[in-house]
Amino acid sequence: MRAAAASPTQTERVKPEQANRIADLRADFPALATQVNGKPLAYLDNAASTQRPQAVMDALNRYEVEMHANVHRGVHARSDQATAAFEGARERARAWLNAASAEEIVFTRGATESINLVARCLDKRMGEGSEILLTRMEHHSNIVPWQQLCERTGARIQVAPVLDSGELDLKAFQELLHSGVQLVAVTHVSNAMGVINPVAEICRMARRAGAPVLIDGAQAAGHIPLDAQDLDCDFYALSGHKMYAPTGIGALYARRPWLEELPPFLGGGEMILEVRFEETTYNAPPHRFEAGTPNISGAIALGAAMDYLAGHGLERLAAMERELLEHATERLRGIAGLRIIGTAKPKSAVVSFVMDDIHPHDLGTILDHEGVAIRAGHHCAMPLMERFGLPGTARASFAFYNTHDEIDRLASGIETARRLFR
Amino acid sequence: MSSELKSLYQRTVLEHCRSPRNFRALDGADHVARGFNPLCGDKVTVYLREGAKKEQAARIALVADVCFEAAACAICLASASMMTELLKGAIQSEARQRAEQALAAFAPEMENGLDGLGDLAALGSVRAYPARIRCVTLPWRTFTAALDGHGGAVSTE
Repeated sequence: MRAAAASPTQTERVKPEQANRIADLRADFPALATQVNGKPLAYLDNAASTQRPQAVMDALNRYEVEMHANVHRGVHARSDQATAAFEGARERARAWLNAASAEEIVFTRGATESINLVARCLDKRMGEGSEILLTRMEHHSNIVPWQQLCERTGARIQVAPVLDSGELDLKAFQELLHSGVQLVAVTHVSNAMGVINPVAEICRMARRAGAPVLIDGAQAAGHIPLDAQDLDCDFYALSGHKMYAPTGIGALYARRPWLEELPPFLGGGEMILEVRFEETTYNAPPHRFEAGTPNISGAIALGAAMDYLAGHGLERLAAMERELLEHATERLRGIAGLRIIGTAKPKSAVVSFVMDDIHPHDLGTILDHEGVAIRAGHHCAMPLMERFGLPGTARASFAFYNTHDEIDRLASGIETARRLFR
Repeated sequence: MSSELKSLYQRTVLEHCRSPRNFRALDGADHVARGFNPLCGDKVTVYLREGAKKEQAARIALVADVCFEAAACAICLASASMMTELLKGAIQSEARQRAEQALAAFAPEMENGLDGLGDLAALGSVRAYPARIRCVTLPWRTFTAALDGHGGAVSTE
């Protein structure tokens, strides 16, 4: 496995003096140099999906040309190389999450599948009287799998409320956290508002109550340094495409005892040791949870994205995002009739807002004309929108590669919309 | 501001959006239908009261009154407002035809087909915005559901 670290998937490290320069960083992302509607693209929809650096695309391409074969099967050299690169990516994901061992990392299609995997495997632990504690700010992908689990088992969902600032009501959360709670599932960062939940505190509270914790890290994984052991969570779900890797790849971190205990998710190849019509013996984790030929190239690209971020220093990139958030908040606060939804601190680099008399959808179309890409709608968080009495919001979400100029174009596009609708 | 944008949000559209016609719940409605766009969360409720007139001893069913309520974008609001203006008092069979004409006119690849649909012609440029076509059609699909007596919800998906 060590050999994989020196494999062609390793991203070249960027010299620190270069990394300081935003122009150089932007040059790593070819998509940022494109035009939309005759204007330079200002891509402010990073919470929906981030763009890919050339290093990730190169790693993908190198894998396809030099290594592709099926993993864990072949007796030939390419299969060995592909397996080493794939398992090397697992090791990178382990390091990214600071899991105790690479066996605690299961590759999935994304955070949604990661959450579904856990929900599908918990049937035997749930029954009448079991409770699953969620929060009002969850993405639909951290609500619906639990509703389905409840339908199968008779368990019930409890929902911790959200304060007017967008902050989780920790006091109410604590009150709901009693002995009947069999699982706490909470987002690390609200996709709709950017509010960062105190997940370490939540894990401590849940631990005291004897409840395991799943954290939906889709919005956090490429923006906040992670340490699953320090957090002491049971499960952590992430998506590759929200952290500069392609779509269709993600990971689930699960603490070793859980992976030993849980039944398999899907059945098929890779997840078995021996198949007979009388009886099948399952493979050990994590392979038990990875039926079929996995998304090998996706996993390798995810590893390359992690290398890219680590090479530039996630802390430094996060600081750049905080600075962008500050500038955006200041600019948007200065616009008459604009109200920001989710003012609690700390926040990820997301600004969700509504305008008097301008629907988010119209604002999205008008900004698109200016080359500014944002998201408009309910952000797959309809219970949260209902909490604020809104059909939806406009959401600008930033990555380290965004600039003040792009934020200024956002602000001036909003002013254009105001003039149009005056 | 680009000319495309001005063409999308032209004066007629903005005027309907600012003061939508027949924007209210209708007491004594014979049919109520709700439309929902799950992609953006837009909601439209269409209220319909039936009537009739006699012509050469034949009873002809009318849309005596049609009103709507909505939490929706400008395009959807304007479309609903224009629709009620056009269909209020219409013979039911003709109202249905117009709804079908409007829905067909916003199908992919269509360039015309809005003749005789009143102010709706002002929304023709929405066809250049595939993501927004649902905004125009939602009120019309909801109206059709109301006319058919489908009390349930209409979804754009």
